[in-house]
Amino acid sequence: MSTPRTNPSFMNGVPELLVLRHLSQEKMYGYELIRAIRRSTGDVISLGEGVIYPTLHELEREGALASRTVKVEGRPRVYYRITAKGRRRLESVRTDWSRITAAVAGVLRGTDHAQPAL
Amino acid sequence: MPNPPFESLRSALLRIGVSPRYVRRYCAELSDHYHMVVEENRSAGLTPEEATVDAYRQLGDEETLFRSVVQHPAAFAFARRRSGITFLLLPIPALYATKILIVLFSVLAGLLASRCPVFSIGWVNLVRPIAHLALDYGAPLTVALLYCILAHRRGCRPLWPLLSALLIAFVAGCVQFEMHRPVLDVGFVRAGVGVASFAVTPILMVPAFVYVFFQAFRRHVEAASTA
Repeated sequence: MSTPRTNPSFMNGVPELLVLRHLSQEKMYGYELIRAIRRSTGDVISLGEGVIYPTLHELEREGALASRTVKVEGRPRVYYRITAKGRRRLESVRTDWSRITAAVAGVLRGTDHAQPAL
Repeated sequence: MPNPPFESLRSALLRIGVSPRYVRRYCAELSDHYHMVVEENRSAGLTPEEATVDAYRQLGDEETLFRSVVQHPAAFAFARRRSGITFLLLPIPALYATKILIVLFSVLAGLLASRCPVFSIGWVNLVRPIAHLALDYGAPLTVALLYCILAHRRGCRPLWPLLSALLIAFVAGCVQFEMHRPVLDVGFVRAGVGVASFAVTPILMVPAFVYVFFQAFRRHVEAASTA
């Protein structure tokens, strides 16, 4: 049941990308989203689960997500969905991420085009 | 281990000035998440004790949860994010809004007193000096006091309410609004703004006293919570 926490220094921007990607498919609440992220990353990415909420709130404040609160078993549950602005942001973050991972992968393979500048 | 519904996290976040609305929502979401994990663990065969321990471990320790909120500036209350506007600009409209409320209340009280046979003319004449006292001293003191409470509740730096108190005292002591009731043979209301004599000292002393009182109260609360 327990999985080791992912190294935080590798994680800058990753929660945002994963949240936007998963919410672009369907609306979810926090717990559901965490489970979906775990499932889709094969348990490789595991954050402190409470940490996801400030990320969701920040994205909502910036207009990338919208939320709706529903009472379930007497407890408020907040469902998040992506907005048009969020979809544009997802595309932008996805492009940045692909560029960076390709460059880092190139460096690790030692290819000529990705030699670090000295 | 935190206690549901995350009481110590809630008070720690409020103490450093995170917006109460944000704290309410964050703690409600954490609480819902916690219950879902506990239910999942129980259905996986864990004992109630193991299920709660694992739920807290998955959510993250309180320090992590706390830091994940405070690194987002937008989570903080307006008074913390825009202290300059809150403590140096808004006190002036707040002061004059309070004064307008006092004037309206005084006019209403005067009208009611003059129409009610229970009150003698002596009572009616008392409304005017009481209203003046409330306008000159009551309004600035009330607003200064409210700003002290606001600063205390939002965890703002102690300098801000002190600056507010000084500003309120200066404006209240130096700017005077006058309004005269209609005179029968003239038939209009006269209003004006002028520079008053510098009667700020008593107004200044009392907010300062209130501020010192609140600082002492704050230290007392912090010492009690540490103990």
